[in-house]
Amino acid sequence: MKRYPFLRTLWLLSGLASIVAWTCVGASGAAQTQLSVSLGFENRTTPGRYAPVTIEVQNLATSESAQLQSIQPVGNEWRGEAEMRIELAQAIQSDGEYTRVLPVYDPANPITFELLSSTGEVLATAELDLRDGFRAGPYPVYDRTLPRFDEEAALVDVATLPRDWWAYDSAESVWIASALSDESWDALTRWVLAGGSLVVLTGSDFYRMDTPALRALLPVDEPTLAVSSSGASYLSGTFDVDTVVVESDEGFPLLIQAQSGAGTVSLVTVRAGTLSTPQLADIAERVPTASLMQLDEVADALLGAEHVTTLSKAALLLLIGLGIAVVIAATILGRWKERWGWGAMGMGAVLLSVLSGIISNPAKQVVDVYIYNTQVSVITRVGIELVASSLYSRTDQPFQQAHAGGLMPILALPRSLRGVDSYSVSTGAGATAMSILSGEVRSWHAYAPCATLVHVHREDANSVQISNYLGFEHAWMVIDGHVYPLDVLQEGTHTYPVMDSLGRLPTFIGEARGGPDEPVARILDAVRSRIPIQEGVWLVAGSIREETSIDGVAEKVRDLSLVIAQDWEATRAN
Amino acid sequence: MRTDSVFSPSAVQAHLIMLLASGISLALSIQPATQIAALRVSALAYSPAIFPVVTTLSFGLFSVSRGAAIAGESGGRIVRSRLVLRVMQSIAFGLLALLPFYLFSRSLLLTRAWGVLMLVSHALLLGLFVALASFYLETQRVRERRSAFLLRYGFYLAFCLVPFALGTISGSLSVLLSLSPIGFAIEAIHGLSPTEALLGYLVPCSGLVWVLMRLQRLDRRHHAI
Repeated sequence: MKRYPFLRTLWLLSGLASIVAWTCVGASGAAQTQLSVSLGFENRTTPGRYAPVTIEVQNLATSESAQLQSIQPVGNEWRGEAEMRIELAQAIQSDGEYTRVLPVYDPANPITFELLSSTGEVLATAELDLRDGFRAGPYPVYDRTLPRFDEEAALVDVATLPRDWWAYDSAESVWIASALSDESWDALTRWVLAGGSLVVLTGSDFYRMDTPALRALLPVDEPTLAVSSSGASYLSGTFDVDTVVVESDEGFPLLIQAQSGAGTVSLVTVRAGTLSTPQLADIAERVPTASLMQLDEVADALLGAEHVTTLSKAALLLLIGLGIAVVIAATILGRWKERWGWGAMGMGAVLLSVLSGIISNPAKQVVDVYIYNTQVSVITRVGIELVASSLYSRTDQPFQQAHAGGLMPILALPRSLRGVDSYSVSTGAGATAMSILSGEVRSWHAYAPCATLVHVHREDANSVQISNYLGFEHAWMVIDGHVYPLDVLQEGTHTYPVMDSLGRLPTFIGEARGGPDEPVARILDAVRSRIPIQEGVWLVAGSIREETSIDGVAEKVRDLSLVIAQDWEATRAN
Repeated sequence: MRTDSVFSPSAVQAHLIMLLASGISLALSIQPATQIAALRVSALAYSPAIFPVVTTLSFGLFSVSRGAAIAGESGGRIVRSRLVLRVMQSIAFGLLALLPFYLFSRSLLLTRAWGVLMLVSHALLLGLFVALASFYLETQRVRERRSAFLLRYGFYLAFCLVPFALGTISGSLSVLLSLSPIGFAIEAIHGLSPTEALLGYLVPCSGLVWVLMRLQRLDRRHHAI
């Protein structure tokens, strides 16, 4: 090297250039768009359930709107594989935190989050390994002020609690011991209505937590703080009729529970800080597990009851018979005079072809996909919407199933994903693309905030005032367990006469089977075991729409919308 | 009058068998108008593929038998143009008989009218090729005083099954599927890609050209004799 000073200089220069290049790359890397993602409560996730997701976008340089999507591989080589693509947000134009609720299919596999430009170029990507937070079933979610007395539990800062009620889908129970925002109370109230299990630890902390939303949720009227003989402060008041004292301590009720909608509210009457870990564990054993209402089975049964549109076999038999007759006639004539035989065959074939074309008109006969959508709104003080859909395919062609924008359906997956059939789906804004083999069925469900506004007020024994902006073809009042038919509900606020009773609710459900009201009866049958619609005054209103589209893959879609709304006075009293 | 024409007893028997096979397969392709729940538990699989597959297969067998019948009746001594005319008559008669079924089946095909057009045009070319090939094989074997029965049906079944089996077994050879008449019929339900359509038509077309050239030689030999 000593003999070649030029080479030494070249080496030095190239080294310097490398350093400069690396520095430039590093500098540009620092300015690159980045995604950071947190999923689930304390990164815990459960397969087949929704989980809250927060995605932070940093250093977004593009002036155009970007799009966020998640890609979830499901299964493995043994089980079979599928891929779920879900569009999480469109029109992202600036840095910030984006919160959504994501269906989680298989936390054993990493989930990839991508930020895409309008041209589909990947601007940033983040991969989330969920294996350490994998939970086979729901897990308790505790306020971070509580000790972790259950290793399975997730501890969360209540300020970060999700505002969408179905984000708590993977929670076994939610324990609150601090003040919450109105939005969080609202989300938890809706979750409890849908079947959630909320534990509120109050005692002397009650007045710090006190809000109208909390008071409406607690099974105690006019709550006040009382002091026990041993000097312990506890929350007291007038208990609701259906309240159950589950556990007492030193002569005062320590844990009381009441059903609220399909869920349960458990009230711990003392401050969280006064309870030891064994006491908390003891209370936890008595708290029921959340179980959200799902209508998958109902949608599946309703789809199963649908008749397929098909070509007439009787018409085909006629066609076969006529075809044989034409061939025989043409042969007889042809043996006599060949030209006549050909003439008869030609005429016969043309006539039969025209007949065949008329009988088998694809516009009338072909339905490739049958879809049954159910959308049930349950409205008390708050409202929830339960959506379920089942579809049956008679085609192998891929197609898109339309649904409400923002809805993220969670597809029911079988244990085995092997075989020719594909379980992969791609959910965008307002539609989910999938490909199903002919003869196969898919079911999915989703939750949503209630979009239906219905107010019911029983004016007197013979009339009821109902406000709604949709209008319903079928309506009934359920008053103290008896079903009364109503006229067609018009849009706006109207007073309707309550007609003669159709009998008790179980009788109505039984008699509706096989009739036009069967779909409503099936849903009521599923809901009445969870929501106490046999008590008090409830409106049940529904409409069924049928639509057949023959553009591309021909779809026959039946939409059942049902509203189950409690009397306004009763909701106020609650 | 010729002993074998499209109106002869043996021909009418072949027509009726083909008509019944196609009609029954079409009935099996149609799901019953029942509830979806009943269809899901039904052990019977109503596949729209049954009709095109069975019809293609039976139409090919019909063409093989017609080619052999013409060879048997003429003793192989027939000028090429006349032979082609007679084969065309048989194929046309068979297709006319099946046309109402093809139209009926368009509701089962995703490609609707295009699918029917593809199936009918393919059946026409396939029928011509197979009938002429059958005539050629029969004439050759008769000259050697040997039976051609196994050879002509074996040839047709091999033509149907070998590319189909190869295309089904190996994913990389799936392009061979459309070389087989069965594969072509199955693919036509969902819609053929240009390559598949080209390959599907290529075999009967090139086969037809080859057989016609062989028959020309046979013609010259007859003239020389």
